Amino acid sequence: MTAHWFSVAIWRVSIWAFLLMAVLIPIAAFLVYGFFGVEGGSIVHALSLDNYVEVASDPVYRKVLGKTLRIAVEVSILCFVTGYIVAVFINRQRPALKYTLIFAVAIPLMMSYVIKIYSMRGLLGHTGFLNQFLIWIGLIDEPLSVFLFNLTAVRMTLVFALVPFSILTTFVGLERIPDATINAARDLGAGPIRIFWTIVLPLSFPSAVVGVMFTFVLSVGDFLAPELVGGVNGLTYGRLIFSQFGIAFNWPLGAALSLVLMVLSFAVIAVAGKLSNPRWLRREGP
Amino acid sequence: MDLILDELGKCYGSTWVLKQINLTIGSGAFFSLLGASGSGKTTLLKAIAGIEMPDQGRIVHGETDITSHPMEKRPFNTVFQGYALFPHMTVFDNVAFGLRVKGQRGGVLKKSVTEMIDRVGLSDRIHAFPAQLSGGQKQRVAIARVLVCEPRVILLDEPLSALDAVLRGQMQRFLKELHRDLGLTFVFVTHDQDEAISLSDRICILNQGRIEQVDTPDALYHAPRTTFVAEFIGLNNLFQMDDNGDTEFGRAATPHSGSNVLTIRPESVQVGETHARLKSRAVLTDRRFHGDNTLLTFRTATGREILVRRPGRGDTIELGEETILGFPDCDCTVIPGAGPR
Repeated sequence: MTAHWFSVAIWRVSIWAFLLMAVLIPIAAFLVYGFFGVEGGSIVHALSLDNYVEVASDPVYRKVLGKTLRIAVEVSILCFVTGYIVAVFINRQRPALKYTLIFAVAIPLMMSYVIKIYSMRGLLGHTGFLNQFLIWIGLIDEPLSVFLFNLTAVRMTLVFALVPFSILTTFVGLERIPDATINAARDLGAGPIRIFWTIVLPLSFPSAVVGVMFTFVLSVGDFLAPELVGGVNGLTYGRLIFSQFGIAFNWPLGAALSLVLMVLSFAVIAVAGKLSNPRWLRREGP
Repeated sequence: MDLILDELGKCYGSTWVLKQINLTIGSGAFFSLLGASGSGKTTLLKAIAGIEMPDQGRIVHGETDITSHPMEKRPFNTVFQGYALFPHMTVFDNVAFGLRVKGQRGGVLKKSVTEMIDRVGLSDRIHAFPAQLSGGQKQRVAIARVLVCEPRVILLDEPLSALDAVLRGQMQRFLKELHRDLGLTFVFVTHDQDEAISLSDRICILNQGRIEQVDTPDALYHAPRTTFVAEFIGLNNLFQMDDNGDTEFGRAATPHSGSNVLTIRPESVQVGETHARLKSRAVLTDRRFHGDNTLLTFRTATGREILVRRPGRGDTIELGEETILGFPDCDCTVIPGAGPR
């Protein structure tokens, strides 16, 4: 009995210690950095709110953040919609094919993000598949360079890279709806469109919203896609943070910018958490 | 309007799960489909509901052939096994679903739905979600959701199997009253023979996708036409009988041609004193007390077990004691052509 209690205690302490060392302390250290300053390329360890004042007052940061949020929202909506369409299609297949398709959807998640971005460059570039195709069907004579190095390319790359999250989470939600529930709705006279809007969508939404959360949080902080396919317009908030750390060597300002992003992401995660656990899923009374 | 099943058949791959189903379910009847699991009773209900399309035969409702009608167009509604309530809707919205599909809105809708919820006794739970209801309450919502649509036929797929004994008794009475008040046709699937016998006007006994017998509960109990029915409904004693009416216990009064089976219910067997022509000496090997009756198991010298039921505590026979058992002719039922078992 005592030995058992002892081993449980050791497990608990080590898990908390690991979380503390690997997650909480780095984040705390990072937050503290946001209150430091920089002079002549070296960090000044004196606490001040200067960085936060700069982030809040400089319109450039606000503009870039707004643009980045808009892209993230657009990407999330696109992923949500295409994710639903694909997941509904996959869920309708017979079991063997269904799980093969879901596995195929999951494969890109195991690949490097950089490879996916470069494959997108190959697709959209001057000699890429899209231009070749448009020339082949005779819509254009010369390859166009408008597909790459702009924000649309960033959006497409992000959707391409993140849509598996939407498909997988939506699929999980759809698969959990019992046939009997759909049959009950049909039995009461409902057609396919009504069944989708009143039964399938609300029942799978708590699961699908987790996918939206993934796509939003991952795209709002992304700096690789804008860097590699975004061109001159592709200055996003992620790139801004990256440049503070990698180019300007202004770590304190970078930390302050990151904190804003972190608070935003946590807010989105909290909202998604609420939406993914609606009242009807809970057991306690109204 | 009668519901007629004509030569209905259904196969999965090369296995026929339903074969040559011919049934007429009278308008307003409480009709049960009774069978063990795998007997095809649920598949038959699904074929009537339109969830499964039959591979053979026709389904006719009144004058209309509805075999090819999709389930949403059939004038039937189903109470599903496990209720299949919409978990994201309140009791009110669950019950209102069917009427909203029909285009009802506003005050009319609200009135019908609240009246129906009141009728099943759930007025105080009207805004609760299914996850917050007990099994019996969910069952009532499932029934209300179907009744409010005023279907001609209500199909019930093992609706009480998930409830405990006390609640099941209450729901059985509720269903029976509902059936009497509404005069609708109930098609009731169950594996529980007591439930089927006590509720139904007529019962169809299914065995491996075929109909064994369709009859009133009384006839199924007292005049089974197959050995399967004789053994499936209640407890029974079955003896082989040859062409001359000879059994291992003597010659029966009514000889039938061919080889037949003689059955006698445990409560009809005489113990101790008997004037019956069929009789046997037997030893009491087991005694099971059920409160209002006692089930005695005897064994004859040839090793055959005979079940005897006696009211109350039963006869004062000790375990291991030998006595004489009598099988009066008038209480024996002959199942013709049943052949050697």
